[in-house]
Amino acid sequence: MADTPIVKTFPTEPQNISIISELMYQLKVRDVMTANVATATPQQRLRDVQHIMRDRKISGVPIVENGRVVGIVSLDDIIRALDKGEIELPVAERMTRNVVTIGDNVSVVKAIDEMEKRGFGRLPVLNKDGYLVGIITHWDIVRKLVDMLQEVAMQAEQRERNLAPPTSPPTDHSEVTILEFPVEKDDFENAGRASSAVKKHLQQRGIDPAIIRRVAVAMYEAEINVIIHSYGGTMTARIYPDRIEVTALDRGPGIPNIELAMKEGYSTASDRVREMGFGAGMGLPNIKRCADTFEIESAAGAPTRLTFTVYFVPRKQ
Amino acid sequence: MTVRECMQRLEAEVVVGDEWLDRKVESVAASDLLSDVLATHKHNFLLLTGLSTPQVVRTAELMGSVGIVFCRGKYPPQDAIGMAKVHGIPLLCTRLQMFEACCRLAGLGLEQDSTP
Repeated sequence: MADTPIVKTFPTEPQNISIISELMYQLKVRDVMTANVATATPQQRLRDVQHIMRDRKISGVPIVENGRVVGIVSLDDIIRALDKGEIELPVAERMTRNVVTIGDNVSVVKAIDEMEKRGFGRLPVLNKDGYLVGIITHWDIVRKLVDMLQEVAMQAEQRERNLAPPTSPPTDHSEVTILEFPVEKDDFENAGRASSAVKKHLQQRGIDPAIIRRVAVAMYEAEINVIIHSYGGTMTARIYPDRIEVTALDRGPGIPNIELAMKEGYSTASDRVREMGFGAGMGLPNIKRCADTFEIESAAGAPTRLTFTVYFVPRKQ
Repeated sequence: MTVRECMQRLEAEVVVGDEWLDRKVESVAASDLLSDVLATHKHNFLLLTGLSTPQVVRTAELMGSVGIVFCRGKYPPQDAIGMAKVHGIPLLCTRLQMFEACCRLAGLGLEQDSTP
């Protein structure tokens, strides 16, 4: 089964289409075009153009006189000339004279439309004064889009790498290390950063991975709660030699009925939150399950303070 | 059972993490509900999901998951790909639906957890 190559096409998600079309409308021809264009003059021989194509591995050469495009020679023109024994003729005699060009300031979407409509794979690009400044092909567009998408991934990668405990560098481990993280309302993009940083810190201390996982899960649940339900707040991790104590303190609006909130399956989360895979009403019970101690204080209209402790020597199975 | 063997069973494509495919898979968790994933007792699990958000990768990272399979042709967003690279989590895509993907991985000696 593994030996047969499998060709697959993935159905595209609507949100991904919107990212790409957004990019394409933002992009101007000048952002995508190849600026260093190989050109020839009308006086050169078709043979010279053939050599340019071979050396530069391109299939179309604009013909330029005084910075203006006066024609274009395509690979087809060259093949025809070779076929008819006309390869030594001056370019002027066989070039296409009515060249379709495109402005450097138009959108890439328009450029694609134009190429489609005219059936051309490349268009010379002119600036507003009518001078040749580049050439655009389908390939230039595809490559640029791929670059831009990868750029998004690289930025995320960089953000993630920089995710280090922001306060007090790990000192002598006999003391308490305090790590503090602001958490903003609805900031799903950064959800879990605090937990991830604390996990990293505990790994550096060589804490048992099973213990770290309990801390990470409990802290992530608490962090998500602050993002989903509160006006924002702070996550604070106090790391002692034998335990970690995590506090999630928010700025309200408070939980009117803690007993109800603790019930598995009870949740006041929005549909948006549920679509992201959260808000199943399992958060608080899960924190309690992972932690050795668990406390929550709140009231309607008041801040919520949730504190849990996990000991580094297992007390729970 | 390695991530690579699971990939072959699922006819999946690697989005990121070719270098981590020989990691051992002990069990599988399949869910669209991250809250459920966060409640699992499983270790070194492969996560099968239909959700394609960066939070899936975050959840997998914090849970120590050995890889993520996006089912039914879902493709992870770019920021999720960036995060996965940093944390060494291979991301795979399969066209199979979640149930069919689970069936293909069933009975391969992966750990089964019967706790409710």
